[in-house]
Amino acid sequence: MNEQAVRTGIALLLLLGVALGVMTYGGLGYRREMAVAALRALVQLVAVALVIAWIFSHPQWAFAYLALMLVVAAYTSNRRIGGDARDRMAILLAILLGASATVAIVSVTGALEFSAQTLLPFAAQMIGGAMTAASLAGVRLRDDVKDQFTVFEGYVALGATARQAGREFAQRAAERSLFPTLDQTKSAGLVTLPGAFVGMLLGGASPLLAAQIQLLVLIGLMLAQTITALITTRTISPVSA
Amino acid sequence: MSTDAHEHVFQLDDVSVVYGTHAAVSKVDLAVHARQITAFIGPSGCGKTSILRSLNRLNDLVPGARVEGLVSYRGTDVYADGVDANDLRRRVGMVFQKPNVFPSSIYDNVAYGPRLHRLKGSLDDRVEAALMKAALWDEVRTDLHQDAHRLSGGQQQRLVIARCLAVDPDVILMDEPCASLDPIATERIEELMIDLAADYSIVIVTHNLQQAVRVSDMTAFFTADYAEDGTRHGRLVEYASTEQLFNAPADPITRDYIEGRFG
Repeated sequence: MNEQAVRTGIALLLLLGVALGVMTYGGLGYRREMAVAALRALVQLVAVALVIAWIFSHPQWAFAYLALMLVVAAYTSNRRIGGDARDRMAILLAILLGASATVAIVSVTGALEFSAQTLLPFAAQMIGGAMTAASLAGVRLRDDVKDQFTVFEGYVALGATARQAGREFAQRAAERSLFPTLDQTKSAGLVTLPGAFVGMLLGGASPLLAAQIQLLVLIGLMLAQTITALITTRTISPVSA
Repeated sequence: MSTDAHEHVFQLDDVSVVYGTHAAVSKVDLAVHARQITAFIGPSGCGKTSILRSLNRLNDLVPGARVEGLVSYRGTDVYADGVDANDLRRRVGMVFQKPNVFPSSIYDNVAYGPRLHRLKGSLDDRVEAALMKAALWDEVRTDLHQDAHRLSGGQQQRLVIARCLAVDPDVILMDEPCASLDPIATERIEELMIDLAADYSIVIVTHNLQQAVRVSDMTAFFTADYAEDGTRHGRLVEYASTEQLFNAPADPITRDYIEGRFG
């Protein structure tokens, strides 16, 4: 174990220990949950770091990793929405199309080098962002339909299928799902320093390069999430079976 | 009046509507006559709305809902395999208790159905004809592209009727269409129903007995029986011409209900 890892370990123990101490002092609950969450994060991040390190030396496995991530994202999002197997497939396609359109643009333009080192983390972030958009848009769609069920029935009573009727609610649901990214993008650098930017600075990159990469991520998320939200709201069933 | 002399649009044989394991209404037999107004009356929980919604298969949207027995529309079992419920709903339109206008313009509300079904001919003409038949054209002709929510309740309900008419239906189902309207708006809808019955078959669920007397040709009276566990089970008590049902009811329960003794 190198010296840096030891120092990180000491810092982590101190950070967590002081946090738990402050919580105890303030009479706050959830100390146990906090400690468990920290432990989980440690295990998960070390595991993922090992996997990614292995993939960097075996780049032919990058696609398998992304495919697995895609499947997990579709399952997670579909569970949030409460959809069936057909909805899950629709969500999987929506995330796939959103993320791949973005990755295609950044790699074809050469903005990111075509290598596992750059495209894997970028694609992973796009899949994660697209998953969030799919969940928000799908939940929103079903809530809206439930809230305005008599209007929904009005479309169906004229001979629309449930999906055709759902399309009348799709636009608003898709728009709403983009708000978090819109806010994040607007406030980037002012109210918050976004993750990729901070990470690159910490890793020793120049601030301008960090800004470039962060912009690719933010604007990339806009595209990935827009595509994913639109497809999700137009293809999943608007009512639970 | 002999019912056999009539053309039937709907024929119900031993129809029950079941939600999960609970039969909301059971064993209904009746025939809906063409180009007449048929009223379904009865106390809350008697299943009249469930039966109405079985006619256009709108209960298909309710998880766990199921229809037993035979509902036939012009000779076809509407619940048979291979029957397209969306096609049925184009032929059998529906007007709801609260006017459920779409969040778009007056024009787009009426044009929704023709666009959906890609109906032939000029869309403008079709929208105009539907609004004329629904007795709304004169009030909205200069505001066709205004938001439909700006109309009054009575106008919104006539817009919903126009929306149905725009896809050339055969039957119009109305689920308490005047429940949210004032007496003047109600009167306009009732006049409109009587006009429309020249060309369309209408089935209306109403809590208003006077309305049934004023507009309908045939009336079905449903009642609700309470089981020991408190659940309600609807059944059809009597189905006859409106005149006969109100003046000479065959069943004492019908008489008690129309005389206002319960419900």
